[in-house]
Amino acid sequence: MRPSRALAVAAVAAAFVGSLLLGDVKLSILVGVVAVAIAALGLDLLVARAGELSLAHAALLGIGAFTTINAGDRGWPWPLAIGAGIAVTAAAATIAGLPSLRIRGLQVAITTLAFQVFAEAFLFSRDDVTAAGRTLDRPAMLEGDVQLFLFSVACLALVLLVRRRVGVTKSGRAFGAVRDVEARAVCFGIVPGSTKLLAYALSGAIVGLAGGVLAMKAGSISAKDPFLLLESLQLVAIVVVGGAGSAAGIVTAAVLVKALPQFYSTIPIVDLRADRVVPIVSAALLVLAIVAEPQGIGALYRAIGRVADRVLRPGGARAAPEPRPRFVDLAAATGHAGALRDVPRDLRLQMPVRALLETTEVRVQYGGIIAIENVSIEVRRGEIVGLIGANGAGKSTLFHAVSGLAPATGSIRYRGVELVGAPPSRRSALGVARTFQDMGLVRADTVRENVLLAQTWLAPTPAGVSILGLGTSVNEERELRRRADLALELFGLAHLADERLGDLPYGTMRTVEIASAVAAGPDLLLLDEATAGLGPDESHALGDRMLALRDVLGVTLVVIEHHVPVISRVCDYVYCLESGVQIAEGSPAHVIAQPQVVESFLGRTEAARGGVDR
Amino acid sequence: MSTAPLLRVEGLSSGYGPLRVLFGVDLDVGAGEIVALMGSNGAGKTTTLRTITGQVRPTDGRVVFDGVDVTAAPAEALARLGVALVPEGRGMLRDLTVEQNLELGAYVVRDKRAVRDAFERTYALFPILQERRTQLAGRLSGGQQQLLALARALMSSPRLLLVDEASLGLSPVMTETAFDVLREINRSAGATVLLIEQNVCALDLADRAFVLERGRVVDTAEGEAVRSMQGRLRRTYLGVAEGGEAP
Repeated sequence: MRPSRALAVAAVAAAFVGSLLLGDVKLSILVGVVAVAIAALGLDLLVARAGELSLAHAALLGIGAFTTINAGDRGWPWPLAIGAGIAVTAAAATIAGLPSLRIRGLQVAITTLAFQVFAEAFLFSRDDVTAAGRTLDRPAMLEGDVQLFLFSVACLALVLLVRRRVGVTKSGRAFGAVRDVEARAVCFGIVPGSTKLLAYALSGAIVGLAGGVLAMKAGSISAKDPFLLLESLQLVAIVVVGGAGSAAGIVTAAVLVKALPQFYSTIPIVDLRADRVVPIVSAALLVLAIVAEPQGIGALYRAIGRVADRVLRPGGARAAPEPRPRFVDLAAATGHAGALRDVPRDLRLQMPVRALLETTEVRVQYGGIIAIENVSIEVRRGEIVGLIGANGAGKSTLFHAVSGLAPATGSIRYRGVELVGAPPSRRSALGVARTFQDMGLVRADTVRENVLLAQTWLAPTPAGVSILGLGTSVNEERELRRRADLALELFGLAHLADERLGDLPYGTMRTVEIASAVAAGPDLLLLDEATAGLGPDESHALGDRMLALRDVLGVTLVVIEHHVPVISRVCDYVYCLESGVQIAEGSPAHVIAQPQVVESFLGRTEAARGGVDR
Repeated sequence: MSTAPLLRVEGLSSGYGPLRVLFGVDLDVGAGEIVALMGSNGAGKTTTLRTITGQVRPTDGRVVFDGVDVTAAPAEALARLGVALVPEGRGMLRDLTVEQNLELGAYVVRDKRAVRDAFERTYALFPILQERRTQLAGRLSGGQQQLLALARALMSSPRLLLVDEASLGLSPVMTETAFDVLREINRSAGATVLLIEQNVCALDLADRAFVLERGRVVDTAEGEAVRSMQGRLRRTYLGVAEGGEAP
């Protein structure tokens, strides 16, 4: 065990035992604090994972608590009552999240504020909702303060487990993709709308459980103070002070914000009324803490962990792996990687065809600008087709049209299936994968997580089910990981699998994106500026891989490329675009020799160099 | 180059958290020079630039600009001293128009007339940006965004221009244009340029070059020797000869 980990375990154990020694009054306060911590963890799932900010979480906490008590009052056994609280709160959170289908960022936060206000005005003012005078009968086993505390800690542990599961299953990856690259996530088979709603529902379920803990603690709740807007803001503050994404930081922040003031208000300080001083001091500390460490308490813990690792085990520091793809024996690696092509595909999509992709008079218009017009290309199965042209000629736009990210007219037929009008998420299932010029991956996630993300369409089990690890989801995940390993091996990236993508050099990130697209098992692979950011040796190696993809794996490629030696070496056929229209097509040598191509794309230096294999 | 260099980097070491990337990098850029910092992916080129501009805190070493110690000085302080950066991956404000992006480039310029002149100069160098000046930057093609990034950095008439992979994502003819522009502003405006590149063509316009490998400077060349460095680089530091596989 790493020293930092041992330290963390010791700290948690000490905190747990220390809490038990606090005495009944404080322990009872702590139960409420744990409930708040759980609610904050639920909010954090939404903030850190899905990138959505909710100001309605106190209202949701209230809905959870009131529902639990109402259910208990009707004679439901307590586990069922808590379950009802969780279910109703999850549903309410989903409703609160509906606006996120249409709008983004701050605007969504404002609509959740409206939800909070609505709940305060119309729900919490009704006695039939607030459960005034109703009681939940606690079972004998949860009667004492110690028992209640243990129960709340067990609930906290359950929530931590759920968060962990989200982190290692397709749900967490989908949340990250929708947060960072929403418009592109559709190409992996992710449906942004339902992904967001799942995040809201999950967050709501966790807050509902927190409400259940409060209900179990109180038995009956008459005050609605803990569920008002101010508390919503405090939950946000706890997430910020704790550090978004850090469970340890958030639990600590909850204790600091919620428990300490209550503890100290019971201890008179000489001549000063503690309940007056504490809010002022804590507000000042809050500002200072955020300025000093914007990443929150979590970052502080990570720093302590790093120091511990360095001091207690000096030799154990991790050596940085060479952040570039390694040389790979392609013959061997490609042999194994053949399994990547083994994906479920409609029978009609397995028939041999001559032309895999045919576009006829494709036109894309953005506002008043016609990006491409009259583009008619043919991509035969088993070919590498090059797409060249000046910057702004419309090459990427054609890719957007094929992958469904740009509004196109005309006809785009893939294996005879008309793609114009088909939703983008369907195209991955048809066998089309692509990369983006400026990356469509999640930089905050690891290399492996990104390769898994790109295969989302291969895992049909709903994300919510995969969190629970039920049914086929375990096998699915295992299969995805196996495929990810194969793809990483093929691209010489296996040694970087657990590195954070954003920490890697640009060229390596690009290679990861290509590996991800290959892992999705496409028949047609669209590479946008495949070698941009790569050095000559890496470009050459990527050329080798393109050839291997074509020759050994039988993948058809369309490649947008500025690197003439690569075009000349790997392309079977080349199209050149200029200002949105085709100006040349043919063999690489033929196209590159066209005066118009020299003029608009190649330039005099490259033309003088011959451009071709010389 | 007998005078004191405009930028001097001495024994610069830095990294990210526990990862060490640079190990005592020494380099200097004389006033009026074009200097190329070459190296493959992961050699530490971008980290060198980030450390010079204060985005990454050095663990050791000094950065001196025009006689002033600017080690770990924030990027905006450097901007006021006349250092402009063209970051890798463009860093455009996608929701602003081309013109607004250019205006931001001249943010540190107080003189209204100087800004107007800068616009004129920039549009003369990049006619395509004038054509597209009311368009949102996010609607430009990738290569055009790269040009905009370069143009934006030029708006402040910088004394030192730091360019991270100017050729990234540019077509050959556009790469040529970008390099021509750099040569032109170096000649006519006297701007000093530090180019970070893996594209060995950058050596065509460099007065001097440094080669970075695993966070250390492993080779330097000056004058005519820079030209001969091309072949050497292709073979050794950057690996396989470009396009040289088929006789």
